Amino acid sequence: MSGGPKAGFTLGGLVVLGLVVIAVALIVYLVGDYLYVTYETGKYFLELSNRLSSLSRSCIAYIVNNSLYFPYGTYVEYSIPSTVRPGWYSTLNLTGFKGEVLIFTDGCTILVKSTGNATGFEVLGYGSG
Amino acid sequence: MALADIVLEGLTLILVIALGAVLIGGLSYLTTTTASANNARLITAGTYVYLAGPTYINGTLYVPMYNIGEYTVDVKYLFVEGLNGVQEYATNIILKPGQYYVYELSIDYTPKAVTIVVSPTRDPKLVLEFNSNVSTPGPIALTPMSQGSSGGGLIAVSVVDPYNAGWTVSWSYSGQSYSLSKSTSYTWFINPPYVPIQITFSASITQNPTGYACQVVPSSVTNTYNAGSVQAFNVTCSIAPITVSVSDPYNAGWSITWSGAASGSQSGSSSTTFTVQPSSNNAVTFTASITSTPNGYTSCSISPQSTTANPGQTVTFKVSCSGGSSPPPGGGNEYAYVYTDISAPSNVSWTVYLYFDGQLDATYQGSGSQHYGPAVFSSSGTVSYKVSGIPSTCTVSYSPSQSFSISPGNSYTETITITCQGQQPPPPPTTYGCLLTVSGQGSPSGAPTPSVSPSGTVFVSSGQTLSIKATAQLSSGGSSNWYEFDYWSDSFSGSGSLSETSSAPSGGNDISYWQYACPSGLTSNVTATATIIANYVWDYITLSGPTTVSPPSSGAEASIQYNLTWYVAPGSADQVSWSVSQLSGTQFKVSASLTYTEYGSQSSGGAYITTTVTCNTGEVRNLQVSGSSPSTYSVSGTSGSTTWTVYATWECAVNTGPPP
Repeated sequence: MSGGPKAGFTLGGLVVLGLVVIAVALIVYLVGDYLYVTYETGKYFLELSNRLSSLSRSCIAYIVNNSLYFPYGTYVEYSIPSTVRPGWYSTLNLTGFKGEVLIFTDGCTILVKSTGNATGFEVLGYGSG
Repeated sequence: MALADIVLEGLTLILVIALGAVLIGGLSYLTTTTASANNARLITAGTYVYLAGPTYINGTLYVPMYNIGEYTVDVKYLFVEGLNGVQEYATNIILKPGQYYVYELSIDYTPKAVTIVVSPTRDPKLVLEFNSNVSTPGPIALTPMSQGSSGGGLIAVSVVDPYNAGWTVSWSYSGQSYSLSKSTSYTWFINPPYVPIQITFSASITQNPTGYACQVVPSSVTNTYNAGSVQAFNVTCSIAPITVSVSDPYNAGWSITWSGAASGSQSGSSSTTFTVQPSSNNAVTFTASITSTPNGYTSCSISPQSTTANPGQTVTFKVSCSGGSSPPPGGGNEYAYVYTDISAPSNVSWTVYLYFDGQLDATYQGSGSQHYGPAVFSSSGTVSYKVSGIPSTCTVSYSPSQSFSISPGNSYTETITITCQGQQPPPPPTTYGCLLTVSGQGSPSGAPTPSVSPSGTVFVSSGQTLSIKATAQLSSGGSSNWYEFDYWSDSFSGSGSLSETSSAPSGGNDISYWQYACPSGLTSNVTATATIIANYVWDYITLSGPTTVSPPSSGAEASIQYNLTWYVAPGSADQVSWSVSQLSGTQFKVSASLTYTEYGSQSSGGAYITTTVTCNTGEVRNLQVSGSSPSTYSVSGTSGSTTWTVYATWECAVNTGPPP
């Protein structure tokens, strides 16, 4: 046989090739996972920002003609005492409220008190997260 | 191949594999830890628990928690920051995405802020914190109240109309428009959806009273109104002038004097028109005469020589000359005369406008049937009429027609007939409202009925409110069972709204005020039914025990149990007093009296039971009764029961016949 290198695969070459393939796959996975998580966290951030903005707006309330008026609407979860049914409200008729009523909306807590005389109702307290 | 080469190649291969394994292992480790870190980043970004306004009121801290994130979380701890430091509370609440929960905590210090410690259930090693300040409600009214007992929330509009002129006031706010027309002074109320509110008013006269020219001041106003604001309009009228028209084609001299509601004179020698301003709404008498005759004529006359006119009317004088050789100026009778006959029911007022070639020439205003004219025109043209100010139930017909051509040298008579349906056309209703039926009702049935004032069916004008007073007895019934007033409620149907404005006990009654609001802008009458319900609780004080007692075993004392049960809502029991008294040889009476406090004062009620002792054989003798001690003791609570024991001894004697 003539001298010089032999053509074809050697066992060492195959092992090195395998190792390179595995290493490249791992690096691609690492980079891809990082990019995916970065995208997802950005999406979460935007969604939460929008949600928080919506919740703070749903906290705005006025009393108009003995009704609690939510210009942007709000979702009332429940009240103490239980006088308000859960649901979406743009106006909440306060007639029938006796004394102090805590209204828990999904964005804030509103304390309405019937003043016990001819002046109707007033909002005593108002809290948001 | 030499053995050394084989060994060298084997060692090289082993080295390469070892290095590769180290590399792969390192990369694998890096991948695992990075994936874990990435996962934690993702969960951290998607976890959020919103504290929707923690509030501290009456010793209770309410912490509303709203999971607006993407992951289920475990709220492990709640930290409450007060003036004296931070308190930790273990909560362990699982909140799924979108879940809402209000955590209640009774604390005796004023909290300033709360912090919750949260772990996502997918990665319990992660710990996140969310915090919020605590609201402690104070008396802060966000908006002024707009509804009160006496016109609060309502805006009053007042029109002062001493002349009874017809007027209309229209107003608009928030894209809604309303109007009201009347012909008298009137005040009404506007109930806007909120205050302060910007309202635009405009006012105008729809019909002048006979002889007057009226206007409304202000005619237009835009302002921002608050609860209780008043917008006033004044109708001011002045006496309408009388128009005097003199037709003198011959240029004869004439003189017109007038007296009555106005006095004066005017003379001239040509056609002219002037006005006379009366000082009162009465007739003015005009007298006309010829002062000179132009050359070429032997005599001239003016007609009519005397006439009367009321304010707002038109008087026409016509000069004519005769005996002249020369033709009248302009070549003969160069004038067209138009007479107007108006026929209408006597109670119908009208205004007739006469136009010549589209220009207003004369206005006739009056009522019933009238004759006017002539209106004199020196050229050909078209005369047309327009009638206004008549009720909508009336129709107008024109004869020969509403519009016709005239030419000088002719005389025309227009007959305008106003026909009205019915003998007396009713004025169209200018205001509508609500027919409210008010009644009182006691609940449950058997409870006393409250009195309401007003009661029955009452009319409330559109946009106005009605205050209703309801009076209910605080209690009704006997001393052992009775009705106690609890609260007010209502049953309402129909248009408008009913709300309770106040309620307070007074004397032996509870007086409640209600307000009914009739919707504004109604175009027809609507009905509503308001039932004001006085809700009572049925209270009782019941005494139970045996009514007959069999004898105990010989010589023993009978212990008889009596039980007092009470329910005295809304009061609270204070004290029970028992007593026992012998009624006869076989009967005794056990009485119980309960003292309780309600509405700040003490009341009492009681019950008694009569018990008869018996013997199996023989007659009852020597009955002795006594009660257990204490006979008076304190109790508490709206409802409850207590027991008292009566000890009784008696003998059973067998009558064996008369003694020997």
